[in-house]
Amino acid sequence: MRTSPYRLVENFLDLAHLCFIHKDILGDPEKSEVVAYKTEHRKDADEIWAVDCAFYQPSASKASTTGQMTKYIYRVMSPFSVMLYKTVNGDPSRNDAICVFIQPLDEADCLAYMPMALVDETSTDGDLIEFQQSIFLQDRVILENQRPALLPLDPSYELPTRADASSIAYRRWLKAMNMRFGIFEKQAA
Amino acid sequence: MTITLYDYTLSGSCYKVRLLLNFLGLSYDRRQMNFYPGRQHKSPEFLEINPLGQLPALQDGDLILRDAQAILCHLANKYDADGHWLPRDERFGDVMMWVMFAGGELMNSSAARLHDALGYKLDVHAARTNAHAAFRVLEDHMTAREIAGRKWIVGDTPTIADIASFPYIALSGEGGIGHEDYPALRNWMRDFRRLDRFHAMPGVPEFV
Amino acid sequence: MLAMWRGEDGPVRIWEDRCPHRGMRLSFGFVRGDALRCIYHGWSYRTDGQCIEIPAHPELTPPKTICASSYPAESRYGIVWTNLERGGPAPFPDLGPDEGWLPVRSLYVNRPAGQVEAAVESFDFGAPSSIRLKNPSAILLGIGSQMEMLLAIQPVNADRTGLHAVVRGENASAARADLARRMQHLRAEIEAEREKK
Repeated sequence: MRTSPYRLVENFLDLAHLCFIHKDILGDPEKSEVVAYKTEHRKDADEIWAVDCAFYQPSASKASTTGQMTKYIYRVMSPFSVMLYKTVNGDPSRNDAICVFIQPLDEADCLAYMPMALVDETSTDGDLIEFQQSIFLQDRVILENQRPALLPLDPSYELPTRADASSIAYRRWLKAMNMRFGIFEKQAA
Repeated sequence: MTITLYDYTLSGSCYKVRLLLNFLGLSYDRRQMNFYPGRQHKSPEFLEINPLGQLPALQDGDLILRDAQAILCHLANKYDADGHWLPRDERFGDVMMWVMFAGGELMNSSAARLHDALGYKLDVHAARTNAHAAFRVLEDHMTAREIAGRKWIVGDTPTIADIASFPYIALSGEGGIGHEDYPALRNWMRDFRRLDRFHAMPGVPEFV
Repeated sequence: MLAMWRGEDGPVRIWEDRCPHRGMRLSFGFVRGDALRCIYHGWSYRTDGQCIEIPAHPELTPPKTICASSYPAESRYGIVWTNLERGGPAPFPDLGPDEGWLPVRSLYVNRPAGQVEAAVESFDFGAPSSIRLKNPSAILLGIGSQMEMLLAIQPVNADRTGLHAVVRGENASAARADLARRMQHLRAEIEAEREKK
């Protein structure tokens, strides 16, 4: 993907885009509200977490047949790796887990690997892979057309809203660790 | 009679066939192939269906067909009695010419996309250059059509020439080929996306 | 890069091609009524650039600070003109009343603007032509005794140039197809030339 690894992580963390970019699958434009969720910097592991996330989804996974409020927990393990835990249809004791591990090839060029562990009695591996690839290619159009490709850390350059709490926490964390690679440095006027 | 499509969601060539099946309102069985990373299209079982090891393939009763363009022609020939999508009058040759162009020169855009999205090893610079050259040919044609007050590649209504050309023009950004230089193609794509029964695919944004 | 759009109210708007929220190109967006909506999160922008809706927070009135960045836009002679310096007005030539212009075509040439401009001046558009007016962004040609063709020159970058042509006069309507084809020859001729420093 021709973008910075951070754009990919933020896209993965983002709930508000689901109903536009993954319309009819992971979101419904008529039910676009992102209810408040919590973000945490877990200092022991030095990870960013977003918990209590919930979003209405018409077809949350390959196995789902009806719309539901899906619950998500997001976890950013490192600047280039992120994963989510997601409600399993019909089994509240278990979670689906989907990871994105990103290998930067250059500041604005990266390879993404997506291991998944899913609870699904009916779909074939091929079905699951194709479902996830479809989601991924819907995002790719967006990711390759954000300007700049590098990530700005100045909140006045890209204006966040409450739904972006996880992105705000992630950018703060990158800033605190003084990350420079793949970061957009505004030219002095 | 059952129609079976050997399909991969992310393939622009399969998308051509799905578009026409949808426009014609035909129901069909989808045989979903693990194209990437499974390379199921190169498996011995699938090579029985298509010895070229390419998607899509279509089974219609006893007939097994490969090549998106041939499949479009077959479906239009058999199921579109009034020749809306494949006219049998003087427009026939013109439609076929652009259908061949879609299966030929425009596939450079597909090659660039395979390189960028799926990591295929090929000369992406040549693919992009050739894709731009092909886009220009259609851009010039559609410009002349606009001046003549026409919206579609041939005739007054959309045909399989439009269907065959749409996917790899619409998806070209995924191979690093932008639409900025092609205003007539942008107008044409907008009209195409507004057709009744049109459906998007990943990489072609949903909203027009 | 620029995003150009037109709401139901008519006039063309030219904005920076970047949503203030997460930098998505607004040219990928979609128009609903008199608003442009970003495709990424559906944020909706009024014709003056002000964000008026954030779907993630349906109850929220977006703050005034969320505003798309705009450039001047003037539609004149069938061509849209802007000024990237933003301070001044769009620099279109004064050709009298804005009447009778018909579109020929837009086309892009993989050569610098200077080379395109020089080629336009000496090109054969099918009848004896003369330069009637010239400024850094446009050339007005008289073609034969009946027609005038205006070519706006858009430097896209150091080696790509857009040409936007319109025509007026008697027989202009009938001449459009031929002029559009000649512009293809013009493009081929320019690109066949070695780049001039």
